[in-house]
Amino acid sequence: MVTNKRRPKPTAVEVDVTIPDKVVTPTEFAAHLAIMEEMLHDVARSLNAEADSIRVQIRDLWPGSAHARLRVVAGPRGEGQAAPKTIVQAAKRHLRDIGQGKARELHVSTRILQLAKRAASSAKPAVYGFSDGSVRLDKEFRHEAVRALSPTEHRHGSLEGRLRDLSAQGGYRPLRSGLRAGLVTRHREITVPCSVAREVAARVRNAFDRRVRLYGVVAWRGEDPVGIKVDDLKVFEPNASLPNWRDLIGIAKEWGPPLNFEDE
Amino acid sequence: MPRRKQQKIVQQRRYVDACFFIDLLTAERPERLSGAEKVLQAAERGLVEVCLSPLVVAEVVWPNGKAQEHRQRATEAVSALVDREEFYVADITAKAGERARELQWRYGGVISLRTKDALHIAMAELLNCTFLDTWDEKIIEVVAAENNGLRAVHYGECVPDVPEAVGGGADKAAMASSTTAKRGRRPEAAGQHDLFLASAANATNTASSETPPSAEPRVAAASTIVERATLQLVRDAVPRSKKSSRSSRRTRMVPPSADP
Repeated sequence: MVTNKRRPKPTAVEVDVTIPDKVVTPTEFAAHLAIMEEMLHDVARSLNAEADSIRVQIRDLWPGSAHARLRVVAGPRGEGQAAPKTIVQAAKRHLRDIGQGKARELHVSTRILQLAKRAASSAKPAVYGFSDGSVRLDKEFRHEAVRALSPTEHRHGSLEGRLRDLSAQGGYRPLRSGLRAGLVTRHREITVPCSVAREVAARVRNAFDRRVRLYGVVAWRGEDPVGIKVDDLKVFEPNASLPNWRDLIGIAKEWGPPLNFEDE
Repeated sequence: MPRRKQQKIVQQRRYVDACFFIDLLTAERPERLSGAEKVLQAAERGLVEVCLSPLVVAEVVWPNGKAQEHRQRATEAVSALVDREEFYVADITAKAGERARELQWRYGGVISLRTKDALHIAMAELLNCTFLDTWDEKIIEVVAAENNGLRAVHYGECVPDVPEAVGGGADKAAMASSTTAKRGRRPEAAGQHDLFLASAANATNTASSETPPSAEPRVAAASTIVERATLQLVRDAVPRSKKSSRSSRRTRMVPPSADP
């Protein structure tokens, strides 16, 4: 018997992004929409193992205002993953916790905090609306985000990633205090602010957009690096420039026993 | 704002010890070499991330004999390997030192577990690696006795097989499900040992759900599981004093104060 059952409609949840100001530039508005999308994807990633478990679409735009409604639906790999509703609720909870100064307990990820801080850094405060309340991203919110981002410990170490966001001044001449850069870490792609000592500023400038390992004092917030004071660096050659590992097989055949060989 | 990137799907994170590089560069033992090649091929295709500690970099040297004249070449060869994007050299943290100390107290007197081996195990645990690739039987024994989710295997075992994995199938599904929990964690995180221990309950499931790609590794994996089960039984039931010879050695590996 052929049944004419329709497939259940995928659940969708809506989120509002508003900048309640008379004059809003397209850049300001677009930045908030992008931050909201990025934030939802990050929360989804923290709840789900699969990337792309949700999709964020524009549902409505209101003329004469900076007000958009976004629709969050399950993505192509969303099956068996946390529902969009759970993800949106988690995002709202994170934002609310940041605003209420409860985000220091490390349950809000560093990525979310960085995005929230960026969203609240705009001159015109935005309001992110959810089905059961809204969160205003203003100066106080930013203050709380900055507080929550403060490191819990410092220790000597190194970070690997790609160098981005070199300070404009650094591009032309090193400042007396060195220069600033951003390192996008290899894992989780957290942007870590780097304060570069003057001695290595030139080398850091030349390593822009390359894979590097930075050495120095790393500030940690729980398990996430939130800053590094760089005193040395190693710039990696791209894989294509390195010898193929197949060509290295057996090169040490005639060299005798290596260190600790007798232990095996 | 930069466009959101597609997240790279790494199926496994494996920790390798110094033998891995030595066997590759000396190519004296074919079974080990083929295992190392298998790991590197999978890493090249982005299926495996290979982790190591600076300890490994320091260990791959030939200070004796005529290798001194090849020093530069040896150094460049090791750098050419560990500098590849698929390799991740993680810092040895204080947390790793503390964990290694704990392992030394437990096993140092029983099977002469060396400090560097204890550190390898500690680093593999803290980096949330699924497998520790080694041919050092002491490491394999200790990891099996600890039974906390990490598996020490001969390299080449349990590596995702590229053609089968791409085509999809039971192996891929088993591999993916076993590594789902690991994906997305940060190696920068040095303090996840508690989390790691918390996932120990899943370890048995992980071990049984992973189907090694060939018959030989399957046998090896099965023997590891049997060994582990035996150790657990011994730990629970047999008094230490009644043991003799090899079984005695294994029994004594379990510290009297260790929690079941």
